[in-house]
Amino acid sequence: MWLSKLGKGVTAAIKDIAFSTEATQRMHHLGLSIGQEVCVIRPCHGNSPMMLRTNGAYLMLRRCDADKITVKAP
Amino acid sequence: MKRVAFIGPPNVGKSSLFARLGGVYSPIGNWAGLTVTVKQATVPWCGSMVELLDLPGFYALSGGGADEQLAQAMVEKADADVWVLVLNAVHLPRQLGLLNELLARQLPLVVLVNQIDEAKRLGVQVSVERMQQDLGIPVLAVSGKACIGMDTAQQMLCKQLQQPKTTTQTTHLPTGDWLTHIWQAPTILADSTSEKLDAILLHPVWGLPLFALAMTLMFQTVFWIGGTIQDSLAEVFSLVSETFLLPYTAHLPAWLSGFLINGVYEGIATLFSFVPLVALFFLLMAALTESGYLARMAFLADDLMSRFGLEGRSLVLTVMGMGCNVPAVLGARIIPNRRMRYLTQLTLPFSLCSARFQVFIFIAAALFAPWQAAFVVMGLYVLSLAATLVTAWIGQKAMAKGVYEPVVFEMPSYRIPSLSAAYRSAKHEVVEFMKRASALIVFGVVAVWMLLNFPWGVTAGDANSYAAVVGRTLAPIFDPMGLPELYVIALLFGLVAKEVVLGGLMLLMGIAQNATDSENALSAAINGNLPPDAALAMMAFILLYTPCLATLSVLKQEGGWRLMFTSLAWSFTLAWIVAVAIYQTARIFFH
Repeated sequence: MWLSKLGKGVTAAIKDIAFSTEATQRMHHLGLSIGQEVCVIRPCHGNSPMMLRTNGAYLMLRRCDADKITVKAP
Repeated sequence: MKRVAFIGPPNVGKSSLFARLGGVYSPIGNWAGLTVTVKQATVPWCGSMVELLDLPGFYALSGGGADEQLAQAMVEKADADVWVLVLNAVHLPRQLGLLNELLARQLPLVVLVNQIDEAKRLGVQVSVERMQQDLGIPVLAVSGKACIGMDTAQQMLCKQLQQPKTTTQTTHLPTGDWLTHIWQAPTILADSTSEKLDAILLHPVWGLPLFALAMTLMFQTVFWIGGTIQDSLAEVFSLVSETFLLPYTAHLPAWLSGFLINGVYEGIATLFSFVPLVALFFLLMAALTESGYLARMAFLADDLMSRFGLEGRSLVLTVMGMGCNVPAVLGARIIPNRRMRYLTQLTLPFSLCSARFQVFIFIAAALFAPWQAAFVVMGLYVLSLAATLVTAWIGQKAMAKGVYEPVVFEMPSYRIPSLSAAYRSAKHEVVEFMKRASALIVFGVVAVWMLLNFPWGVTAGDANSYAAVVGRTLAPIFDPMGLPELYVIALLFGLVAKEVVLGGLMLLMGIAQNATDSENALSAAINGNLPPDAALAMMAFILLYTPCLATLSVLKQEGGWRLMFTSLAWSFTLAWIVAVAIYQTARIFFH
């Protein structure tokens, strides 16, 4: 399931990140790594970005980027 | 001289600790990437002078944007006696990777676990004693904002500086369940206050209108309170001029009294009268940045900006550029994507900075009724945004796409802004503004005066003056926007800095009226010296035409000659097209 499809308040664990090695590394530094649980604070509406909470940090992620991250369905 | 460098991930409070421990000013705010250059201060510590460095934040020793690479290069050189690694107590687990990398380098490290007050509020416990014991390096829990542990931190750093330079013995973090021994947090680590606020402020329908309302309220407050004080100040300056200066300069030749009163004095007085507006603007901007709400603008605007090849943070930088374009262009280093950064830097000179703002207020107040003037200035803000978007749209079509990089960044939690920090920020900005602008305005007045009065013997501004000759030469370019020849001179000096235009205008309006006349020099302009349609075109031209020298210099530094010349050529072309279009349209209504 794509991260971008998750609704508000849903928590799921990251399964795969389909970016280049460098971009994946950057995601990791920001707290987005495989196995990490994320909670959707504000889902994507149209093309707007989404806001996630991961381990106490809040991240903004574009819809097109969230489309490249798969999560384990809750 | 010993050197202490503050390093760590973005938005952990390095600048706040640098300012507190060093007793120096450093811009602070709740925004990842506020520090994009190395800040330096020399302070007396433990009986000798010590150089403190505040480095841009970085997540790891490789990768990231230009700001991160700058700090990484300094760590690579290991050019400090003590490295102060600042970590956020709440987000400690994901920041330990950086600590691990630094331990491997065996640098003389001191770890400050910052925002310990925030951690306690969220139920997070950090065992700094255990960290210190296991890592064999000094570790201390502090809070730069709440002033917790500052004296102990300073004593600890002094002790480190007085010891012979040693390296850490531990080269990596303990493995296993070490994290559980040093950091405990609730099962769900969340800032419920921030989340509740975001539910309202980032609402898909109400979010943007609420932000627009907040910004409108901010500008209204600046104009309402600042404008009232400004009017009072203007009256005081006018009284001083009429009571003291005019009688004492009455015996001087007309050209000299005109230069002193209408040029130098009016220029400086006008500049001082802007201080309340500038101070209020920076005070409120500092509060807005520290609250975390300005960072939300990046979220709210991202969808719109992405359609023009930019990202949400580009708009935040545009708003920051309303103070001065130079730090905004440097601030674009936080954007890792090269193409997006280039486009953002190309658009930032269109941000209506405080220098242009005072020129517009001056012209608008001179030529239009107060209610019209407010619309004119608001219209210029809209034009500034439109120029940004048009430039980005054309730029993204013209530039190669390059490697795609995801747009993801950290949103800070909301904080109650510190009034003292906002005051320090506003005070610093006003002092800098005054120092820069007063010198430039005097330069503008002198330069324009010389062109108006030379060669020696000509009547100020007559057909044989250098000003008239230059004006006539450039007339074919500026005629289509209805600009009187003499005003072209003021625009030319605006290439140095936009404040210079104000100095030039003061003198031009005074000369046009009559240097010895005691009436307000602005009345000359109101009486038709500069027609309203030409004034509108001129303001649009000043807003968009070539960036000032300081901005051009940082554009060259950040993007090379190509970025600088692209900005120079494009902004002049766009300014000319827009100004001519405005004049030709406006004259239909004004004639």
